[in-house]
Amino acid sequence: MIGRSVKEQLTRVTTPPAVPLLITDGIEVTDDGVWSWVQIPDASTFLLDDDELADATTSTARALAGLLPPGQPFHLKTVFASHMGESYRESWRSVGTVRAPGTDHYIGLGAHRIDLAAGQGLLRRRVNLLGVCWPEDTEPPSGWERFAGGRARTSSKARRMEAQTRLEVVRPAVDRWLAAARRSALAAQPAAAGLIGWAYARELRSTGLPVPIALALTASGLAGLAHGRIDPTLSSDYLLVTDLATGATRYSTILVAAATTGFPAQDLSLPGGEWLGILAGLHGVEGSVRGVNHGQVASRVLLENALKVVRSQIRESAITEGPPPPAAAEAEQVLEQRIAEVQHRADVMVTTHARWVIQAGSPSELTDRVAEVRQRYDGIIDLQRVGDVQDLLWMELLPGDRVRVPEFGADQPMRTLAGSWFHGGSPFGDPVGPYMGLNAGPSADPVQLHVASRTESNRTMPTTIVFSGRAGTGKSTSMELFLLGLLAEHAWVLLPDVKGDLGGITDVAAEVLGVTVQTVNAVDADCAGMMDPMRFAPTLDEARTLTLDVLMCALSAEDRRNGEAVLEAAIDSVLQTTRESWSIPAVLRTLQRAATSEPNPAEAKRLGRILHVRSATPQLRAVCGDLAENHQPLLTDRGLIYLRLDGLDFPHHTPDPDQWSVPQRCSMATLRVSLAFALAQSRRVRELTKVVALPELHLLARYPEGLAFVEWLVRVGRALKTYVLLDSQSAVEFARIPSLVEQIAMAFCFRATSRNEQDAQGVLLGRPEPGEQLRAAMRTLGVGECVAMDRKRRLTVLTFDRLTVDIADQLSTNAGDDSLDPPATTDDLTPDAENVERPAGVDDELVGA
Amino acid sequence: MTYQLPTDTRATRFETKQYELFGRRIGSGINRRGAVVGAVVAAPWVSVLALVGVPLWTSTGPLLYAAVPFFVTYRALQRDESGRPAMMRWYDRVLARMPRRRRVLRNPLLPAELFRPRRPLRIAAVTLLVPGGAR
Repeated sequence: MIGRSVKEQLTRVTTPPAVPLLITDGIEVTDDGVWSWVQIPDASTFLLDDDELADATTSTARALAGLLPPGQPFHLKTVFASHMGESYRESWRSVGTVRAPGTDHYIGLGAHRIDLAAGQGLLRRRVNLLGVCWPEDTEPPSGWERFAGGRARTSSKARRMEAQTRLEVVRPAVDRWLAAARRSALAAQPAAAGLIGWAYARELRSTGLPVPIALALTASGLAGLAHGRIDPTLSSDYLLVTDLATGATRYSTILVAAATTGFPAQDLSLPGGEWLGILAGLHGVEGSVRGVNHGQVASRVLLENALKVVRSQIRESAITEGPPPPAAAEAEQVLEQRIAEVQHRADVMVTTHARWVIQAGSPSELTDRVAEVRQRYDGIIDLQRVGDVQDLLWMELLPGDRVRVPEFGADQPMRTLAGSWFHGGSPFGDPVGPYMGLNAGPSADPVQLHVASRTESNRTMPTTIVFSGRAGTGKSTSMELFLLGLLAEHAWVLLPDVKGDLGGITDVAAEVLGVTVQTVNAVDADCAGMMDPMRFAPTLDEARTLTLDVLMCALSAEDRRNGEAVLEAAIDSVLQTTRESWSIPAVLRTLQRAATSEPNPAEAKRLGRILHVRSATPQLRAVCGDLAENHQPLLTDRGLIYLRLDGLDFPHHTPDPDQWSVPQRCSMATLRVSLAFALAQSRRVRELTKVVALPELHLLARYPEGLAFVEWLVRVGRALKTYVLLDSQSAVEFARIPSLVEQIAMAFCFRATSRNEQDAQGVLLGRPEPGEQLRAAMRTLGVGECVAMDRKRRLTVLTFDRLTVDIADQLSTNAGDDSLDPPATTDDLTPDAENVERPAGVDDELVGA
Repeated sequence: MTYQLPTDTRATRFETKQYELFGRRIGSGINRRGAVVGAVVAAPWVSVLALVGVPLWTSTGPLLYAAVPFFVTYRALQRDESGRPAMMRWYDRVLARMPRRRRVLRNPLLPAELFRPRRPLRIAAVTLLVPGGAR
């Protein structure tokens, strides 16, 4: 044991750094070995309960144990890159939907916001790379050979040819491994050649080298990327990294876990002990772990040898006639337990060499950062800055290199490496689609949500999106942002507004996106007759059904009992005429002119008179009134219909129709027609993306017709390509509708303080029994922030972004302040055209929802 | 319930002790690594003193022979705040001053020739002086 320990303590590998001879997708060949590389996507560990986190850790440990070939070196790199608006623009290229005229401008605004947030350090892209070195039959050059330049004397072309041959030998094994990595719980993908090259080159420059958008790689491109210089001679504690392309310099130091005692034997635990996951919250710090998976057999050998030594010590100590040394007794117990775990295949041993890379602009800043990082790791891992080996530690960071200072290795079960959660975070959203805001969880990414996605997996998913939370927390504005994203893809959108505070979206939709906007105010005389079902119903049967339904709804219970037959007859009579003459006023005229030959003419005339009077009331004239001059039919093509229902008199006191007043019956008739229109349009053109947004669902869901409408639409939405956006102050209301809960694709839960609401939000978020972490997140959200669940049921905290100050003002649902000045007109609220035209001209403050 | 992430380095690299030497008990034992370091330090020192002819069995002899190795061993084994023995620091300090380690690292993907320092070009020029009267 002394031998192994002393050898590791004294070894310092000073050979030149590894140089890639050949890089292709997923593979890097150096003089020393063939490495295969995969990129591991972030795993969703944010807001997981303790038990869920433990299960996920065990699963990851098993995946790593199966994936890392026993006895072969591996290299895990957790590095950060900046997000770029250009990548966002690029992502839209793969979106094949129809676009609104102003979509490019809308994309430009999002790209600008991403650049702005990245510049302020609010966004960071984490890249997790895992590399494995493959055994080769040929002997790699010895240290002396390399020192003497034995192979270096061969031409670079010959070395590249040789690298190709070496690669072909191990290629079948590498391909199998890459396939296994893809299938594993890590869902790792082969790292693109450009990404491997970038990972190598960035160590030589350390100046936020952006990840190349094109992931192909040329030799000259790689050489150009790696245009940097490392100077270890200035200090024993740090290196000076110079980007020769820009002349920028950074100071870099590498911390290690203190030898033997750096990692605590027992005190590291989850949650809280994610020793690499922590990096997501530390700026300018990255991680690198090299190591070897010992596998079952070598793990047992390692542990049993250690146990022999410990037991021999216990025996030898008996000579003192005292109890065995506590450290030996403890070690014996630990080793026995670990051997049992390995025997039962519960875990395997791994030796890791963890490094923390810290960068700063000056030596003093570097010292401060080192102190900050050590402070953050206090109680977790004892990190040390070791002098005089910084150059060797830096070389270890290069992909394809090796462990050069093995003194700081740690022997751990695989679960300790998995529990580092090097890839743990809060990944959220879609790789394409409209930019919605910032991921405020550990994965500080811009959030894109492609609601209208028709990918293979998404097209089979439900189409319901819910927003819940207290009043004034930003849920309605957030829903409007979603509608803008859908309008950018030129969807048909119906937005009934029962409170009348969402009108700002019409200006934004028209001016930013250039889409057709139709505003219908149900109580406005100018909109009389626009919602007449006889005019919009696509078929005769639907016209008949909807018209009868709305007229019956406007009548009292007694009138309904007597009048059903005469109404049917009158409607039928109108439907016998030409399509152009179909209308409810025509039905009413038919009733009033009922001939004596028709059944019950007196009743027909009486009902005709009643309905004629009611058709002129504000609550019913949009449906039953005579068509206003310069009218427009309800929009059935791409664009936004903003349907103001705030002037209607809904029966808030009871859902029982027998207790409703005449205005309340008329209001409900208008509401039913608007819902019927939504259903009819949903069925009209199945290929068209259709969206029905229902704010304040709690007002609608209290009526049987409202509830039935929602239940029906959420069930058939996927088949009809109709997306349903529901907003309610009461998550409890949502949770009471089981059919709705089953159909939720995404949920956005804003601040909730009561336990009932939190429980209900937990149901919406797919966590029926929310743990303390989730409850705490729900309690502490600010305006425009929400706990969100995406289609993959991953959670994060999302901060919505309203793109510009103008858009923020227009989408605001807050009432303006009282003043002596005349109230602002719509024109006054129109954003400055110059401001809207140029993304660079937008206000450079971040605008949360 | 928390989920433990153990590290077994202390157990797998257990620091052993020697409890007896030449059949005699040594109290609660001495660290074997320390003993090895002491022996490595003492051997050359004792050899040098013996070669120089410093007598051991005098009043100051044992002190001369033991004090220096003891002091050096003590300092070498003293641990810094990271728990690392000082001798490792000395070791790295010496290695870091080797010429091979005092080099600036440049882009390894470009041939080393590109980075060789440029020397002044030496040009030999010969001028034939022709006296004016020769024309």
